[in-house]
Amino acid sequence: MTRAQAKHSLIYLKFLNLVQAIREMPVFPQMDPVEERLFNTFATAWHDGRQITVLEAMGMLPDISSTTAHRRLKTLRSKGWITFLTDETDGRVKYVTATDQANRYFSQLGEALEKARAK
Amino acid sequence: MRHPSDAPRRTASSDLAIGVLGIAAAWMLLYELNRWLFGSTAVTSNVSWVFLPAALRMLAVLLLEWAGVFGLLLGNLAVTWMYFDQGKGDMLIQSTLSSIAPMLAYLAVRRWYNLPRELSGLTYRHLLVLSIAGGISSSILHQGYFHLSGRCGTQLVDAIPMFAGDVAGTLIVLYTASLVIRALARPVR
Repeated sequence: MTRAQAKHSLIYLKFLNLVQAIREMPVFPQMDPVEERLFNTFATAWHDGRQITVLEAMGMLPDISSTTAHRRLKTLRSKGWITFLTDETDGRVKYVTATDQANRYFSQLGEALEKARAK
Repeated sequence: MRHPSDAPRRTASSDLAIGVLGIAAAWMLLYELNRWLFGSTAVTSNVSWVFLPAALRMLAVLLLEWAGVFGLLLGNLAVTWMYFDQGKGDMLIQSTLSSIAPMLAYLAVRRWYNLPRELSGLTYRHLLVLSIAGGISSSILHQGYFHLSGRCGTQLVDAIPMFAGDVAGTLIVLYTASLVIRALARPVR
């Protein structure tokens, strides 16, 4: 390979790596697997019209310790997927509720499934 | 008599020259676009809360390294000559600082993360770090120059919008590029 070819190859390789890195720019806050499982469990409960207290949420995944679940609740909140609402009658009770971002996400997933079903 | 190896060498240097001129032209275009889109966010004549060309600084040095710096220098000189009433020495120094700052950030980030020259393993996190490092190095070099040249009045205060503008401009361009790449790379049905 000549020097010129090596230089071209290097610039092309850099370009490919750069495009790949730019492509992976996070558009929305992503969830890790534990967060995703928790979030999906909440979604099922919300769909059934149930309210989930923070205490309940911490025990919804039997294989995850309550400490881990609590930590993930906080990260889900910081990523904008859930929010905590204090009970009107008992200030000690807090409910886990979906944010607008979460509702949009469910709606998009629903639309995608509907499109897939229609095919 | 021409040596047979002259042909590819000439091609490589002419390609590099095209790259350098392309970067200079892109700098001028982005500068004009920035004035048009974010002119209202300008703090002073050459400091803005959003500065789109900062993204080009990073991309140019990532791809072409010192040739990219030279392209940025040409673009900077052209823009300064067109829009600013500065002495030739001042124009050259500020343009040089603006062009070298991203290279210093690139070298530091590459060394810190042990990134190879072909940038394999480059992730969006590196790009985010690089955009911040570029903003810091540009602000420090410019403000250092202003300070040393006796213009330390309000100029030091401009370091914050200059840094924020560089980072914001870089992120806007990167996210736009990311969305375009994703849209183009979407599989055809």
